[in-house]
Amino acid sequence: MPSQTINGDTLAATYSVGTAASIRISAVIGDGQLGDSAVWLDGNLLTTGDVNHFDIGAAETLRGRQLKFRSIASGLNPQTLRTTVTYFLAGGTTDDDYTLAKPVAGDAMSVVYEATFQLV
Amino acid sequence: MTTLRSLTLFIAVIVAAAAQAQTAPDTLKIEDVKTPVSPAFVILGVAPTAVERPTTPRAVGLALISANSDTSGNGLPRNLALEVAPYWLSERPALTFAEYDHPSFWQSLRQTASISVATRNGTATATNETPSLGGIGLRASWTLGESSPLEQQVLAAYHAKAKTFLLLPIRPTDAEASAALRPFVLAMREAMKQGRWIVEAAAASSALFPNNDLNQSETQKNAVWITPSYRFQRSTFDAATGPLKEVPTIDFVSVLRYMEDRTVTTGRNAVDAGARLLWESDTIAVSAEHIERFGNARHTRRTSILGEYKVTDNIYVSATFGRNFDGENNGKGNLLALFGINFNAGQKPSLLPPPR
Repeated sequence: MPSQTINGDTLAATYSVGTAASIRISAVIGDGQLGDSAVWLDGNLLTTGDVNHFDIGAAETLRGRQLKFRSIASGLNPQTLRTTVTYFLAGGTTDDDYTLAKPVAGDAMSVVYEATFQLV
Repeated sequence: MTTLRSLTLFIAVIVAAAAQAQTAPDTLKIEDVKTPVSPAFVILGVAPTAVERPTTPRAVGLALISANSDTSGNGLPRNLALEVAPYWLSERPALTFAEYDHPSFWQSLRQTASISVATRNGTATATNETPSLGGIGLRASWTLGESSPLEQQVLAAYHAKAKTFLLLPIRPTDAEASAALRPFVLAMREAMKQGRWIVEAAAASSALFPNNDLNQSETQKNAVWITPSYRFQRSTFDAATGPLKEVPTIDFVSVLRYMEDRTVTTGRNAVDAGARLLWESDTIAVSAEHIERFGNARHTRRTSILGEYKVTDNIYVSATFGRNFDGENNGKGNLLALFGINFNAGQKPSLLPPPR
């Protein structure tokens, strides 16, 4: 699956976990902006903060479950109003990444993003 | 001249339109209101200070300033500078905050590089035609040193506050998150500047257009300079509420500059070395500077005091008084007296990419 960029703050997609022994996820707040993320698996909190190559387990334990990210990107960077969050899923049938982009409404304001992946 | 003024007006309209969609913050400090003095302004000699503190280039910035020696105004601005930071004209989804805050040398140059152009009326000729002076400049900077304890404290408080919103059972709105986090973001922005060195390098060139014809130009001045600066860590932080305790900032700025001046017959190559101490509150900034000029130019110096006052969130005025370099005032003594009115074209002008 190629990289995708979406203008918006919400994403719903599927991810094929294949037969991987380990599925790893990342959430990258871009454009030099400040931010954090939280990740849930079927409503159970997995981690918060800087999500970087976080191992969520083997494919056989993940298939059929729902992975949810919530991120906040704050407009720290005085050079642009843009914020972006890129969600990476790796180790499954393909390595996928989705970039969500949305400008903050004003200086130093924030955007709340959510991305939900059905693991198949 | 009509062509140049039409171009000036066109640029002003474009930048104003780009800035119009932006929400101004509720409280702006004087340094937020100011569009930074660009290298192109410095080379034209209309900058109010000769030792300008390194500043963050906006994606697009516009400045209008009037020197009191210029008397030919007809309602349109006589002096204009436009500055563009090309790196920020496109999305940078891979640039994390950590890389932005502590960039490598080359990354720092990329994210701070800007190009500026400026115009100014020249001296009227015998045929009563007023030629135009044009300047073009480049600048980029490198931030040195680790995060200050203040920055680390603010960053930890931001993360703690953000976590409370991330874990809310119902997704918070952008407005709710913004209201809670904005004081921490603004505090972080200021904390990042304190207790660290910023070294800015710049180059600029100016040319005279005798008939206001872009095809006929005469190079006037070329210059390169380096400006190391340091902002003392003076603020304190209340983790419960977010904002930094407001105290006037103090900056030390030094400059080493080489300039080739083709408008004079002797002493064309000058080296300037000097320093500036700047005290700045929300609405008032006062600074003193001293520069020695060496090279094959006659040894001379400039000593001045600069005051700036924020009138509104979009306008500030500046005044500079002191002793200018000998020979800078076209044989009219060395008194330095500049008065400027600066209009801000937006807190942080930004050109957003077109919708996909």
